[in-house]
Order: sequence, then C-alpha cells, then structure tokens
Amino acid sequence: MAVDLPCWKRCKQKNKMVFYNYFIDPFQYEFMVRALIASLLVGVISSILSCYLVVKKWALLGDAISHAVLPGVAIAFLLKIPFFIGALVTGVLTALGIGIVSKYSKIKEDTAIGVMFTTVFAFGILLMSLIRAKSIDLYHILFGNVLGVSTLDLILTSVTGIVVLIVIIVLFKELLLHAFDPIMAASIGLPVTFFHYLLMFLLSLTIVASLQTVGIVLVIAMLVTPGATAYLLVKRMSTMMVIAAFIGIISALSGLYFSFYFNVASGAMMVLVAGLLFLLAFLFSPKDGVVWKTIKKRKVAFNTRVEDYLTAIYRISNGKNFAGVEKVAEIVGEKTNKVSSMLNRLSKQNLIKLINGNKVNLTALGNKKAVFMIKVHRLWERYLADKADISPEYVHDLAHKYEHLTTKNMVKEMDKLLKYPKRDPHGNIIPK
Amino acid sequence: MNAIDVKNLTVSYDKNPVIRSISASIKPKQVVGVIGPNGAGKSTFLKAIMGLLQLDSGSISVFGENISKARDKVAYVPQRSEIDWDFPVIVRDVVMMGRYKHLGWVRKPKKEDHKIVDESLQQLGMQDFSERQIGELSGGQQQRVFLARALAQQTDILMLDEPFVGVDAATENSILDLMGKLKDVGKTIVVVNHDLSNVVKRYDSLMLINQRLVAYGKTKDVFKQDIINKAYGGRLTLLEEVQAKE
Repeated sequence: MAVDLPCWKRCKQKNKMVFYNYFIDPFQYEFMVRALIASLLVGVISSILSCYLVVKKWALLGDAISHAVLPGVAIAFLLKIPFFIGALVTGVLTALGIGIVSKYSKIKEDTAIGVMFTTVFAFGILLMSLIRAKSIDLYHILFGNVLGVSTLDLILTSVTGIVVLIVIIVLFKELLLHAFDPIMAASIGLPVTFFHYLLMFLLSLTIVASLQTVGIVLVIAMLVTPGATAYLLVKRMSTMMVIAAFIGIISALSGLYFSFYFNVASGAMMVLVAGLLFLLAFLFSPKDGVVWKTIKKRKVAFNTRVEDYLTAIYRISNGKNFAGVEKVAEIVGEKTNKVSSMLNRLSKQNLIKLINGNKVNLTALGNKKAVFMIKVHRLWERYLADKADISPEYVHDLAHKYEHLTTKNMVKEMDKLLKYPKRDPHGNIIPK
Repeated sequence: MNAIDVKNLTVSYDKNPVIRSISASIKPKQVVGVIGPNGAGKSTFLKAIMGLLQLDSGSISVFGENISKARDKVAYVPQRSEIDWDFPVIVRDVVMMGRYKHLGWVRKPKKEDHKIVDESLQQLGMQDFSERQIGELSGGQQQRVFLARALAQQTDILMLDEPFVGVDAATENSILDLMGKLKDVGKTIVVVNHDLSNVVKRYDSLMLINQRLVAYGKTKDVFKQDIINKAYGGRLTLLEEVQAKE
C-alpha cells in the first residue's frame, strides 16, 4: 500500500482490503488451496455427471456404488496400495454384481441394489473394525476431510476430472441418445451395453475422486442434487449440465468458506448448500416452481368462483330484476357468510349490485360476463357432443370444467368450427 | 429385391418364445400393417428386424443384406410409452438425433443437417414448435416429432410402433397421408397396430400375427372376420403351459 496517499483514501482502501481478505485470507495456507481445487473439481465433475443420474433414474445405483467403495479402501490399506485403486475395484465390482443379480433372477434392480450395497458396506465396516489403524480414519472416509487433501489425492482427482469431462464432451450426442432412446441408439448401431458400463465406470471414478472431499455417505448428494436442481430449471441436457456445474461450484465454495470460518464439516456444508439451492428451484423455478403453480391454481379457482356466481345470478334473475341471496347460496353450494363476502367483492368490482343486503342483480358488465360464460358452456357442450362423440348426458360436467379455462380465441375458433350453432345438445339457446 | 426378408424367425424372452417360426417377405414401396392382439409379438417382430434381439433361429435380411450392414436403411418410431416425456430435450434435439447415423461418432451437425431437420419439421407442420421441450406438446404433436426424426434419418424403410395411440383425429389423418406420400417417393412403411380400427383398411397389405404368422396378404383379402378371429382367438395355450415347466 502506498504511504503517501491522503488519509481518507488510505482508510477506504484498507476497508476494501478487509472485505477482500475474507475471501482471500483462507488461501494463504497451502492446505486450503489444495482443498479449494479439490472441492471445485469434485463439485464440477459430480454435478455434470449428476445430470445422467437424474435422467436415467440412477440415484439409488449411485448410492450403492458410493457405499461399496468402503471395503476397497480397507483392502487397499492391507495390501499397501493406493486407496484410489481399491475403492475403484470394489465400486465397479458391486455395480457389475447388481447388473448380474437383476439379469439372472427375477429380483428387480432396486432390490438387487438394496441387498448388494448393504452387504458390501457391512463387509467394509467389518474390515475397518479389524484393522483399527490410526492412519486410516473411518470418520474421514465416511464424511470427507477436504482440509487433509494431499498432493497425490489432488493429482488423482484432477486426472479423474479430465477423463470424465473429455468423455462427456466428446461423446455428448451419443450419450444423449443412449440416455433418451436406447432403442434407437441400438438401432443405428451404437454400442449401448458399452455406454451403460462406461457411464457406470465414470460414476465409480467420480465417487472415488470425491471420497476425500465429501465422503462416502454424502457423495451421492453431489451426484444427484445439482442435476435435480438444474432439471427443474431448463429444458435441454446441455444447459442442464452447465447449470448443474455452476451449482456444484457455488456449493463447493460455500462449503469451504463456512468450514474455514465457522469450523463446521465442509462436506456436510457443501451438500446443505446444494440442498438449499434445490429447495429454491423447487419453490421458485420459473418453469414449474411450486409457488407459481399454487398462485396460478388459486387464481383459476377464484375466477371459477366469480364466473359460477355470475351465471347463477343470471339464471335466477332471468325474467325477474333480482336474485335472492339465499337462492344464490343454494346454487353455488357455499355457506352464507362465504357467499356474502364474495358478493361484496363482486359488487366492489362493479359486476353486481346489492339491494337491501338480501337481493342482488347484475350490472351491465356482470351481465355481459355471465352471458359470455353461458355461451362458452353451451358451445363446449355442443363441441363435446358433436366432435368428441360424448353422450349429451355427460357433457355438462366436462363443459363446466373446461369453460373456466377457455380463452376468447378458443371461443371464436370453436364457434367457427361448429359453424355458429344456435342451440346446445339439451336444446338451450346459445347466446350470440 | 424385397425390402425385408424374414425366414423361419423364432425369438424368445426368458426362454418363452414370443415369435415362432415366422417367414415373410415385404416388398418395397408399400404400407404394411402388422396387427394382432396384445402380447402377439408385434413389437418384438419390429425389434428383431432392426437387429436388436438375439434370434433363437432364422434369419433376417434388409434389401438383401444382414441388418448390421443396413442400419442406415431403417428408421424407427417408438411406442409412446417407451419415451420419458420429461427428458430435457427440445423438439429440434430429437429430430437432430435422426442425423446421428449420418454424422458418425463425435462429429457435430453441419449446415446440411440443420437444413434436413428444418425440412423434416416442416413436413410434419412442427416448425413452430422446434424450441419446445417435448413434454410441452400434445400427444399428436409428440408423435409428429418422432415421425420427423424418422424422416431426418432419410431411410428406405420406416417402422412405426403403435403410431395412433394417444393421437387426435387430425394427427391420425396427417400420419396416414404422410405414409401415402412416403410410399409414393419409394419408401417402405411397416406399422404395428394392436386394434382393428379403420386405419387398418388404408394399408396396402396386412400381416396378422399371434406369435406365429396367421395370415399375410392384400388388405382386402386378409381383413375378413374368420381370419381375424383366428388371430385374435386361440393362443397356443398348451404349448405355453408346457414351456413354462421347462
């Protein structure tokens, strides 16, 4: 920092520095740099692969393979070979075993998975309890220890990442067809069985590479959640992968920072952030967020009520100048207090007029709306009877459902298609 | 030369024969309906022709060649129920899959391929829907997308598995019209149908199967009550029973 700056500038710069420092500080330590690279790699690879798991409904299979690496780690320790190799071998063998059990018996795949992975996992725990070595920590294998990533781990993770990414990029269109329509894939001569095991191999590789970062128990979260979140947001596989990778990066970074500043388990934090992002997408996805769906549903429900009230009042007051509130309540089938609050709302919207509190009549606007609704209802009855061959006794209920969902353009089209009919199937006049 | 030659074909699932010694030849440039009740082995028959199944016995050739050498001659439109309609693909992606065989491994679509995709979409009247996710379409539109994909494959033979299930009357008509047009430009079309609706009468020939070949010939000759009863009536129950014990 330059010393000859005026004080206020120096102070400002200092403040800025402090803010930056929150982000940069952790990486003065070499182990944090290694942790950062490892988490980012794992976040990106597993998130991209998660897209295949989601569309191929492989979540349970992924969970199985991740648990199956445990005995491999123990055996590798006994044989004094790298954990990576042992884990990969038992992971792949279990995946193959599941395939064999479900192919050669009437056991379905989910049951085969349930049997295989618990057995293999239990064997792993047993081995670990026999070894009881200080140099291998069951807790870290189960829940990850990103801060203890060694340079060798980092190299293995990077190689895995590069292999997985290259395969997915190079074979993108082949794997897309394989996942979407395996029958067509086979019919144009693609090796579908090879692709099946290739994906399983990539899955095992990724799981093993993620061991150190998130651990056996939580790795499946990063192999499902980012893909599931992206699935709710987009409509193409390629964009799904980009969004998933982005979610993986955010989760990895926040996991790391939280664990540094608040001394919490980084793997768990990473998964928790991914889960929170999923919740946000579930609630607010512009494509099909639950919140928007509920709001829309309630809006439709309210409009339906409005339209039912107006047509009821129209029918009752036909020939008279008013409709009794009690009669309206009877037809719409709602309780009196609900009816009166609804009538107040309608009168505020200038659709009806309240007379003495116990009678109502339609305003010009309300009348217009009611006539339109009756027209739509009767047109639908005509359409269902004539075009869809539905017997006239059933058309009323269907028409009642559809009339509230009908746009003005649809009405025009229907009218034209039916050649401007004069009466509905019950003989009632269809208004112009 | 025949478009498809099937000789003494037998195919089993889990040791149970689904198709028993069927022999039939399909001449090019016609629409052939493969009909029969549920479980008669119609879809299996199509899949066997496409070389997707292991045969117990018999042989299949497509334009005189083994299917492994004729994969670029057959396009397939799957049954609706075989597709995951929530899958993250848009209409254009699906139709582009029809170009994969021509593209070969790894290579990306070129201008020419995009042009063919556009034309195929246009032929089915789906050009305005190319950016839609496939689940956002009606049943009829979904069927059109897969037909467009088959067109983009530019094959001599098209195989359609139950194309009229879950489809509106307008689409049904346009599919039938399209079949006629494709036949006129020299394509051979094989359609699987499980019900005997009116569309069947618009095919050139009918192949009635119920595990074995019951009847095969010109539509007007096959579409007769006694022949149909034979196909939709008795299964080979005794044979099935004894085979279950094997």
